[in-house]
Amino acid sequence: MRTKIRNILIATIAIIGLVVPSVVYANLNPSFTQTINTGALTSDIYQSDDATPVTSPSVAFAAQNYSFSCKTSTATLGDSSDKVNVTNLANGINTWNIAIAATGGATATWTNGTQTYKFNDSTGSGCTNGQLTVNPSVATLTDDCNSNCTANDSTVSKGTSTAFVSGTQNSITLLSDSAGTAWEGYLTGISLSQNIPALQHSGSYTLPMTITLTST
Amino acid sequence: MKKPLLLLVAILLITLVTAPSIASAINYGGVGGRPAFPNSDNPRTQSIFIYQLKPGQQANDGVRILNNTNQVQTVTLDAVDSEVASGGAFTCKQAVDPKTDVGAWIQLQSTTITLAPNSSQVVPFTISVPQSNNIDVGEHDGCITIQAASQTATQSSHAGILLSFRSATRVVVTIPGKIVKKLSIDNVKVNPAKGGIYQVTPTISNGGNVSLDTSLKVSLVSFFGLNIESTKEGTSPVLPRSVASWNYNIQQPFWGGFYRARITAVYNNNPTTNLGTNQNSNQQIKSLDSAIFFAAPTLAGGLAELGIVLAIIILLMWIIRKQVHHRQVRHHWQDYSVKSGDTIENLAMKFGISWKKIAKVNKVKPPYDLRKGKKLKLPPLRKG
Repeated sequence: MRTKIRNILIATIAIIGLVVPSVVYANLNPSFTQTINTGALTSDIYQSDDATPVTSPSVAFAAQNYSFSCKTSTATLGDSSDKVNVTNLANGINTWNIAIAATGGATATWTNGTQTYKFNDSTGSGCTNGQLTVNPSVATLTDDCNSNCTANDSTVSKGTSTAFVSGTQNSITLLSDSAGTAWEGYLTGISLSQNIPALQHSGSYTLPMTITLTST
Repeated sequence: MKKPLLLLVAILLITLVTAPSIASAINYGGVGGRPAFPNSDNPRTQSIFIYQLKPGQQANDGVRILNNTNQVQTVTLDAVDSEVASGGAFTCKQAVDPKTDVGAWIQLQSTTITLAPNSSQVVPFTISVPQSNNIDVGEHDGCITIQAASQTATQSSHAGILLSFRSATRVVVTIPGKIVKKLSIDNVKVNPAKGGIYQVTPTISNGGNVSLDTSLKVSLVSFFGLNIESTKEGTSPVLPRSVASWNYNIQQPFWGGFYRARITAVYNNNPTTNLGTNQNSNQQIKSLDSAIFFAAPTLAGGLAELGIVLAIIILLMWIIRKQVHHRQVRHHWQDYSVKSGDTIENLAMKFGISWKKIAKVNKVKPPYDLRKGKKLKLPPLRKG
């Protein structure tokens, strides 16, 4: 019996000796649970797995028919498979803001290659030449900290519904954080609404936009 | 015999406890940047660049670009001016926008670098304030932007908005002179939001010429002045000559009722204190309440309140019923003197009420013997 126990003991120690060193290859100190590279403040649009970036992310608006009157087309930025993600794992007092703006600046336009209309002209309540409104206040903010950071959504503040206006409102805040502590999360359901002028030529229009995450 | 067994159990326990906590190296974050040489005297320089430079002066520094992905990344760097985003928040202009301020003062040594997976590189830069009398005293802001090629939108067959992503680090340059620090809370608005949340939106103005790191706290205060709930305190930069607002979420109060939202803003009002230093000295505290608003209780609170109201109604009904009964006894019941042979049972039968009621009204205790001549209150005798 004693020999049997001794054999089991030796076998257990041997298994531990073989398995554990390969598991802790990156971390020999059992008091540390993870090795985390120097963190950065980053943003991207992730798939539903919260890890894989969406290739060439885009936001499609509801199609509109050619019309003699101004039409409003709506879209949603961010859903379960396109999450606007923020990761703040930088050290220090790192408050941040994430905003959206047209990559081409205030003079950018929606274009199908030949025809254009605007995203930032408030004339005629945005109907004369076109205006885009972004409403992050209706979006859903989800803490996705897991064990890497602390949930602190009470200091993460969603932006308010704002329309682009050339020269005076070129960037619209989606989210900002005043805690400065490590945090990870994402936004889904940001409402977008574009006024399309009357008699706008039919076609597939695009507008490149940039989401900027700034350490403030 | 017992010792090896105990040893075995101990080893197995240690294995079970330690093994799950051991993990291989994990990467977090994508491509970003931060100051390469923060100033140990100013914790804010760990995340943003802060300089105090006179016209004609320059500073040398570096930005550390981090690639925390498992892929090789080609990264484009740029220096741009800043602008105020909606809500008064700080953001950066686009690469195509003309550079007239800090964006034009920064010279990056490299504007495109290639980073191996999980690596970083310092890109040096020089910031030179032009020698000019036309540069305003106070704060000037700009950004160093970092954009991975993989995060840059390319023309595709998709219609709609084509999205690119970039990260940026704020660059603050203060031109010395007459520094003005002036903050005011303009208003506090409260709106109900979905999911039992109240959205509190304070609006704050910075009339000075430097940004103010302002510690903000939103509290829910009852009609009687009791603090019900507070958000975590956070510090937000309020940019010079701008108006800022934020949306804070406050949970629906359990009991409901009339409340006010209170914003408390704390900032350093010493003109000689630079951004990020001595934040806790010379503190100026400003506070403003919203208008009183009514908040409905939560479902649990509503049910609890309904239960309390029902309990009060039942109690009141019981009290009223008792008083009615007392009044009835007082006004309608008559005095009766116990005669020989009377027992509580036969008096009950005679007067048509229960013997317990006679005992209760007349405080007759067990064994309920009635002495001859004892005065009792009894209802009028039934006719017939």
